[in-house]
Amino acid sequence: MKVLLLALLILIPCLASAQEDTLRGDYRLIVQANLGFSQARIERSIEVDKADYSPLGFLRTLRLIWRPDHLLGMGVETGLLRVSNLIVKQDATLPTGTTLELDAIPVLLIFSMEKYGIELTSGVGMYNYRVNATLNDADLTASTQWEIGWMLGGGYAYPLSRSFSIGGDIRFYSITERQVTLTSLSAKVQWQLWY
Amino acid sequence: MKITNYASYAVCIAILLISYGVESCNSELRIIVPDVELLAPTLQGTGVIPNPSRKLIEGVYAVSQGNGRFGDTVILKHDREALSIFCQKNSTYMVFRSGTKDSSILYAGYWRNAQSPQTGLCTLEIRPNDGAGAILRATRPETLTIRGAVGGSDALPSEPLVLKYVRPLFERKRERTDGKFWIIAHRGGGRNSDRLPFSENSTELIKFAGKLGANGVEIDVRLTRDGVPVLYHDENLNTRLIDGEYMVGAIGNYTFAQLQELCRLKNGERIPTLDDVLRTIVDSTALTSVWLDIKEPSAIEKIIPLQKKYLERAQALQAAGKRDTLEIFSGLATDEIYQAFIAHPEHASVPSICELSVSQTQQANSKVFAPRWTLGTLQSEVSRLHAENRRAFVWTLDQPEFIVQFLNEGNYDGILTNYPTVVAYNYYIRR
Repeated sequence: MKVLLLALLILIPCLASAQEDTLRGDYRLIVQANLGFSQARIERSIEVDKADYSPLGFLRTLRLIWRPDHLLGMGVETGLLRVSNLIVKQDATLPTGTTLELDAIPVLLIFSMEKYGIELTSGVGMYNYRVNATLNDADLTASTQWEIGWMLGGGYAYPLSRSFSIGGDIRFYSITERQVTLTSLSAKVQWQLWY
Repeated sequence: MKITNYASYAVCIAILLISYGVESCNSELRIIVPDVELLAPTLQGTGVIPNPSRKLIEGVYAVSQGNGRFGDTVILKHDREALSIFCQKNSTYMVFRSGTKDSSILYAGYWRNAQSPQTGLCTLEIRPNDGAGAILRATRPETLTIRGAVGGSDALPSEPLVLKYVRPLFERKRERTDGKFWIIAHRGGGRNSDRLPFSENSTELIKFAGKLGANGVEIDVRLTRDGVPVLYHDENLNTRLIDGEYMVGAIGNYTFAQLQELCRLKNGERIPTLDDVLRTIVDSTALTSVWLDIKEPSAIEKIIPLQKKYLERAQALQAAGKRDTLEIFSGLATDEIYQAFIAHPEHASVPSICELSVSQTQQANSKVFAPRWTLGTLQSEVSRLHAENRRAFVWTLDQPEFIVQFLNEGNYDGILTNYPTVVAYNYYIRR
């Protein structure tokens, strides 16, 4: 992971140098909505007997990005990332049917560089890490905790009109102290609020 | 390129460096114990060293070879069948398994620096002519020499180590406390950051505490959502203490069954119940003191019956000659805990340790007053408590120079520490 961050340190000046000299222009405000899948990698996972476990899940995110007339835009990202879920299949210590869902709500300050529809994004902030345990649809345990983390992403948006674009993103989220990482593939819709 | 692009570039680098820094926040500490199984052949086919013989081996020894690594003097002390050595230099200690074979006494184990990751394997032998013959006949030999070898990390021992018996261990002459001094291991033996072979507040670490020189343990007690008292220090389930992805937020949000199934302490143990731990202490250790650091007032109702149950069990074993005395104290560390404790109808007859003040110690009829070490030696207060047949323990002393200072200048009856090996060396070396 640290190698990836260092590689981006080299990549960013190349993108920055592609910026053309222009006069100061208008500011733009962009809304991006993404829907996709994520795969979690969890270092501190422990094996639970007699249970179905899945580190795959849906990703739903929303971004608001302020793009000034220079290359670097900034904004915020939130959403809902499914980290993993587990269903107890046979009575062990926990009763059959106990379901645990682990989600993370990112609240990230993001920095984005976009040129020719290609966008690179990085973000730092907090994840509201939350677990919900249920049995036969009745709540057993709901607990949350804020965790520090970051994200990196890249994608492309094809303009359908001056206001709307569609495209896709590959993103990497890290909930650092928990040693949880998510790799995601998502489709996005982008709407330019004003320009 | 315009100035704004340079600014953009600078900001991006800053962001990536911040991300790099955030990624580096993760601070895993590896628990380090050399592979002692490499020394298994040393003890193959050996018998158990009789208890009276073990007592004769304990003492202060001069290091005539190997003092570069361990200093000039070491302390040898047994915890049941295991031998521990506490060294003068670098807060180093050694832990050995033992056995006897062909009139020799053999030890195989490892050494470790208590405050750094340095460690290695070690073997020791007392040959028949070096004193083993007399010791195995339960008589004190005229001279006693222990020869051995030490190695680094997992390397087989090769550097020579020779120890020569000098004098018996220091014992405090004080009728009021039966000559005892309490070396109390914090969180059952030490913190996770001390890289001990077991997790803090685990049953396994508590069983190991005697090998670290402790004769008492301090453990942290919290309640699960279904009211089971368990050992856990922090309010939240966090990566410092546990593994398990579904463990998020306060420990009090989870039932005991959920904790058992979904979470492990850092070295793979399960979070133990207070009931199980007290049973282990009574039945399987030689510990003489347990300090229950109660983390929430509502736990007191659950703790006091367990405290009484295991005090009675220990007294029964003591009466049968199967164990030494055992004291189990409720720890009163905050005003909320104190108020909940004195509101309990049986509080005056329940042994407690009060950390708050001398007057509150008296009001709660606590047997022990336990001030923070930064308050100093508190000579007059401690003398006043001794006159009332109470004791005083100081917490949490970790720096060797302060441990020596408090032993020499203070009049405390016990020290709570993360480094019981350091307290043990500096206590038993005294004359």
